[in-house]
Amino acid sequence: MAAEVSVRRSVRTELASRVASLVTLLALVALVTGLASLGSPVLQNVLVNNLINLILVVGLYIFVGNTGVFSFGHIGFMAIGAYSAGLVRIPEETKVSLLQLPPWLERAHLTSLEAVLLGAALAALAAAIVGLPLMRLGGLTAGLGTFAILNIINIVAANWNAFTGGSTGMAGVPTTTGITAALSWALIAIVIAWLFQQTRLCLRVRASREDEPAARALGIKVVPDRALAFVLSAFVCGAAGGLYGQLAGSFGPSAFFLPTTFTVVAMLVVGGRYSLSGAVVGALFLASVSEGLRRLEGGFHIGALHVASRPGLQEVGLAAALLLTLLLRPRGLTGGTELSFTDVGRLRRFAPGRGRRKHEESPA
Amino acid sequence: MSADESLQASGIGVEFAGLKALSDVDLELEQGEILGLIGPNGAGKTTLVNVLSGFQRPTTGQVLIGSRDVTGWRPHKLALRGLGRTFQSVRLFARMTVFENVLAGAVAGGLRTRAARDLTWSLLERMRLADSAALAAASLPHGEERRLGIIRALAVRPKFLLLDEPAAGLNETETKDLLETLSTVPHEFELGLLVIEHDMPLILGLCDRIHVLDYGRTIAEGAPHEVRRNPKVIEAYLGSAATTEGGARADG
Repeated sequence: MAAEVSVRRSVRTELASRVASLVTLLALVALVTGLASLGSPVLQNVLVNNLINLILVVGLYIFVGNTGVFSFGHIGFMAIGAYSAGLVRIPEETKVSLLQLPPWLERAHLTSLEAVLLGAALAALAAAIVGLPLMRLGGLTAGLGTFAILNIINIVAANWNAFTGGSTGMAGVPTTTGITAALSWALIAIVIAWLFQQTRLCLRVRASREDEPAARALGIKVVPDRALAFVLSAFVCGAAGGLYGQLAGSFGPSAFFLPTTFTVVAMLVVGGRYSLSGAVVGALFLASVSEGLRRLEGGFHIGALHVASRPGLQEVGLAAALLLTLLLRPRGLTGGTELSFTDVGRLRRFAPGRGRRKHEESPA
Repeated sequence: MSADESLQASGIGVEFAGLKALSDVDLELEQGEILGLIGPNGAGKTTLVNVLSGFQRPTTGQVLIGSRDVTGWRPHKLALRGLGRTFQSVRLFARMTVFENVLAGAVAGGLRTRAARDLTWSLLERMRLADSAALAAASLPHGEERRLGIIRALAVRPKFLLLDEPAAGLNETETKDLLETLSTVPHEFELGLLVIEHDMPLILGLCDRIHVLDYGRTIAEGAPHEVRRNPKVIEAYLGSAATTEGGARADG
């Protein structure tokens, strides 16, 4: 019975360890942000962009990590967030001259924060509309289905000239997203993802991820449950879009297409898509690698040896990191575990090749 | 939903591309009883369980829970109407803990977190798996994996529970252990238990009634001692086993 008491205790203290892991992640992001914010204005700009990437990765994780279904469509929800925020932030006279909007929308004006929330809400609404039919798909077909959504949103953005500015894009959005706003939203996104993981809904979608027939046999409604996770996840990506729009000031449809999708997916996979820590660590890690490579792109010296400029080094580096992860450590850097400052011993698991690979990708 | 509803299948037929997996099978399961479903490999036992649990739509026939026609209902809907099942291949939620596996069942059954946790603990204790609660389901030895599969299904609080070869791959001790547990389940949890099994002696000892399938048809049903003597059953199913048993006896 003594063993049983300690098992009970270990299950009960699990909540405490989950809280510890949340605190660890929040502290990690705040720390990295704090350090990077001391750098040059260029670095600060890179920082804000990467905090937005982190929000996207965490948003994508809410769906992909917990449901096990892949999505290549979430950057479309980012686009919805960015354009919606833009429409309520661009000064009225600029809207009149650049776009052809209905009068009520020309007059519509919200604060920066409200614009982010509006973008998030509209992205969630779009996800709710496409979610139910889309969630009937699984595996590769889900990947293709969500990719189709990305394309549809991209094409609409490029051709709905009156609202989006078409392929030239939207301009004149006040650039109000700074380090504080981006960091706050990054922390909020992590808290949202964490809270979601404490819900019964999340337990159900994770059960369906592990074994769909078994989940159905227990009474789990797989499709609507997944659709709810999809909507929440789109909400977070929509918020990231709202922040991005107010960072870039002007942007076109190409900002929300393949390169961004690839970056965000790579961050999630490299970090480890089965844990929130994986999403956060992957975003921070690849952001650092990518920034390092960007600096080398312009050419550099090793002693007397001059290496000429290598445009594209950054993108190739990202792709290589993704490829290496898939080959060597398919469950990502974190291997599906959550980081926590209370359990430094776990860091051992980060040694290469020590991931629990027994059950990798093998449906029962 | 009265307490003494029964699960009733009548005239069940299933065809796969012209091949008859089941034809005209009638089966009834009462709450509180244990029904054994036996038959040689390929007799259609799992197909019948798939029909009853909504994983296979029957070509003909009707499934009733109480007086409600549930033919063609989806698995999750049937589960919430009181129909639980396990799988031959167990299908645990491998990367979740033992505790979470059972909790998922309790939550799927509609309990709120607090009540779901309480039920999970009491089931794990009752079924002697509480010590392993914090382990990953994938790390359990085979015998405990199968037990966890049953506990997870019990957590939904089914009125009818269909077990697809619960003793597959278990050694003798584990099987005996499992049988002892199963024999008390129907009364303790107020449910009807249907058990698919290959092992005749095992099933004859456990069940109140036996239903025998061969080539997708019912060839016998009744009390264990009747079924054991049924010539059709001996021919179709016991033939080789009876010979082996006789041979062993002659040797001794």
